[in-house]
Amino acid sequence: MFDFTDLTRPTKLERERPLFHVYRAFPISRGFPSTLLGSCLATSKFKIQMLIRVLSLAVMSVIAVGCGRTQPSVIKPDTSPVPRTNSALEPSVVRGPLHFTDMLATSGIDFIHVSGDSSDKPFPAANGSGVATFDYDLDGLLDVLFLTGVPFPIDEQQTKSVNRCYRNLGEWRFEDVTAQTHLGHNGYSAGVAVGDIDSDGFPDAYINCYGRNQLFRNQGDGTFEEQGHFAGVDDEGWGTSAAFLDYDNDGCNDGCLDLYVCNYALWTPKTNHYCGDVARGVRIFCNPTTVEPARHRLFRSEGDGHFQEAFDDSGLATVAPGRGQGVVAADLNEDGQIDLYVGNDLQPNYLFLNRGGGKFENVAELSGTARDHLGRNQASMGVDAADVNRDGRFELFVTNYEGEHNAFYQNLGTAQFQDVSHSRGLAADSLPHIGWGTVFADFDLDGWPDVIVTNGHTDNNLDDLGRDGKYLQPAGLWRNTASRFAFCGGTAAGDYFANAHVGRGLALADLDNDGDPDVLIAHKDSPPALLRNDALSSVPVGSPETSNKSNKRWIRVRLIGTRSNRDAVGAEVTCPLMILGCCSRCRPIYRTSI
Amino acid sequence: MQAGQLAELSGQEARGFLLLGTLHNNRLNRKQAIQAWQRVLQVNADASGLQVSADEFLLTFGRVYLQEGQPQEAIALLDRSLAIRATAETQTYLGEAFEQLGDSERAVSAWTRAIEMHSLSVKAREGMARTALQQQASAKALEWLRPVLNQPDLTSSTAYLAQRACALAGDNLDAASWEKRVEELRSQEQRHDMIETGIQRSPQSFWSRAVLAHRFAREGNAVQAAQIVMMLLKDAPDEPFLRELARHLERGTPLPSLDLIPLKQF
Repeated sequence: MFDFTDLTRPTKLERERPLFHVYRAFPISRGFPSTLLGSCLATSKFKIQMLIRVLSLAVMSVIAVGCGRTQPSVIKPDTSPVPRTNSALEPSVVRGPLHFTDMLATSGIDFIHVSGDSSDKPFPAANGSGVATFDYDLDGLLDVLFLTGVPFPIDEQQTKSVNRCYRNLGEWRFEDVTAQTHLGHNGYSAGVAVGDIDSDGFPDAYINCYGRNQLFRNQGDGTFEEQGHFAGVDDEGWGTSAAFLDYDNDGCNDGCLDLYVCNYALWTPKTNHYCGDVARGVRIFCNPTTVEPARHRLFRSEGDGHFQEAFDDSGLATVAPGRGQGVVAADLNEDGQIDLYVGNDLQPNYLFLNRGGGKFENVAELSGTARDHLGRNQASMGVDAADVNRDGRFELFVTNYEGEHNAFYQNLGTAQFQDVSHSRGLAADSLPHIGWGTVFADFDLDGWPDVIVTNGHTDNNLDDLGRDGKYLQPAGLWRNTASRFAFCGGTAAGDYFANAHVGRGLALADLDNDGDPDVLIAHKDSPPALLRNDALSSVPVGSPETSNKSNKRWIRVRLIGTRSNRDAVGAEVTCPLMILGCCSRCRPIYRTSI
Repeated sequence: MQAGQLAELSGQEARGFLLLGTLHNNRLNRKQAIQAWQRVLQVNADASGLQVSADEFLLTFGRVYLQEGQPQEAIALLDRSLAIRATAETQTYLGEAFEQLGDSERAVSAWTRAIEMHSLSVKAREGMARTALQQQASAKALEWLRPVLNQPDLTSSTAYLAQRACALAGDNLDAASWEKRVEELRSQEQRHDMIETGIQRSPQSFWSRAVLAHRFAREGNAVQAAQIVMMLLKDAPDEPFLRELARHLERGTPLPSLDLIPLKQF
């Protein structure tokens, strides 16, 4: 018989991405939504620049690995020195401009992810699961929801591997409230999106699963109720990520967040191929091209807690199915309508421009965002959007497989983008790694969005095949220096970045309410990381950072939609500033995600 | 194994490590290739007396560093290669290394020298076009590409840059036309790449051996081709590609196209 060994490339897969919201000009009145965090910089006598960032409910998905049908052992981080991938970066032990401290050990968080990896190499276990932050009890502190997979075949009665919710008690302490909140879903969870679907001020959570997706509606009393079927969003595909947005601008004020759902592929344990080397008995995850891509979903809110499938009517059905991994919603062509950008695995990415009237058009190919700078498909995972160069337009960023650079698309206007990853310093250091979760955030509060990427391989046994490919990989961190990005990972960014991990999901949140954005990272088959941003906290006395601290400024704006969706997704904030009695013209101040 | 043994022989270490690194690189194990080739330079700093010329070794080594996202190491090696023998190819990769570093000025300078050496240097022209596109100079980008757009060995990346230039210029008609061309070229290249990667990763697999037989047949080595085909037909007597290949070897019918190979199984 044929020895169909080795399908070109090991597999990679999904991860999550943060959910994005764009805020577009509505007065604030009440309630919860996302938090806007910003920084104000006075750079000269007549020049004040201001940038507001939304720190919000982020979302992520992840991937996993394991062994056999038993619970996989916990993966420990590789603490051997991380080689610098770009010698332009100084191998320094000096504290860098971006610095984080992992607070997990004393946090009370005891979550450990389970991917369901086994000798059968079930495809979903190549990926993993995400993490989200949301203030579910409206106490002003962002709480955390970790997702997990389960072993295959899926046992619907099992209770060992469940999603876990932790309530933020402040001071970097968390309490497991999974049981109280009823958020302990026991299926195979991958991605999560947070949004207030019923405009009651309490954030709800949508979870993408391998299997039936779940919608957890916040009851406002500290508990959630699963209403996916009732709402009509319990899609049974292989979900990976989702985004809430109000794509039809229908103006209702009673829960008008619509929902885009990324699906990955058509796969069952029965159709799982054998990939690797039969002769040597080394099995690895299959290449994504071995599974047929799946159709995505668009659910339009009816405003009463129900959603209607709108994929076909919205013009999205004209595109070929894609192995979707990440999605971001933002107004990418400055026409006041929220667009969608979707990262697909080894297929062209989608750029759905919102043409109004509830219709989208895929212009990815024409816009230059479907592929990399040479027109090659990439294995896209995480996506994010932000106004990186402060010209009022959103740039796009996509994490990719090893050997493919993470793609940074500069927005040139008129829905045209250019992959400028190399010249902006974001390509070289990403080439050796498989990137997953990512988010832009102004970590050092200098007014310029920086970027973080989680990395980790899909396969833990490539050595057995004599192949390159480290399973544990260091996370990437780049500082925006206005004209380009400078790699700031490694020891200088803190112990977490000095070590290697199997990174997957990522969420952004100011967990200690000190004004600088912190980061949660989900790891496959291991505990997460809870990274405190040290830009404003615990700066050692005598450190050079102490004097810089006074230059780090921020503001926080809470938006509550009254004529729009309550989360004010799609809002745009502008800040006219009075300078020496004159009204300064200000650009729109954006942020996007949720 | 033999390369490793060669590397242990006194006086042959450099040659052994060169071979070892080459084998790793051929299997796309670039990190291991880098480690082996670093040993070459440790024991033979000027890379002389190897199986390949020093400039060629340094160029190849530099390229691998570039593929691994280590442009500064690449530049050091490419500069050394250029000092021995300046070629358009080496200048082109030097330009790409500077591009990775974000040094557009020196990248353009290297690509300019490459084009001066070889006016139809495709990769150098692509680099110039990419730089122009970043500056939103679509007409300039097309100007750089024009001399190579009608070459018979046009690649999808060159055509894609033409597509981007037209799109950026607002010429959607030409952009669509280029998009179609890109699709055709990409499809051919993907097929070729999948076959090559499959052969590199699993040279003993069924389809790798089938492709090897095809290559023997193409080169006129019918005996070896037939040996492999006969062996494979025992496992898959009805396989269309092999039957066509067998017919070619027996009766001189046209060589079957590699398009017949089921790539998903490769």
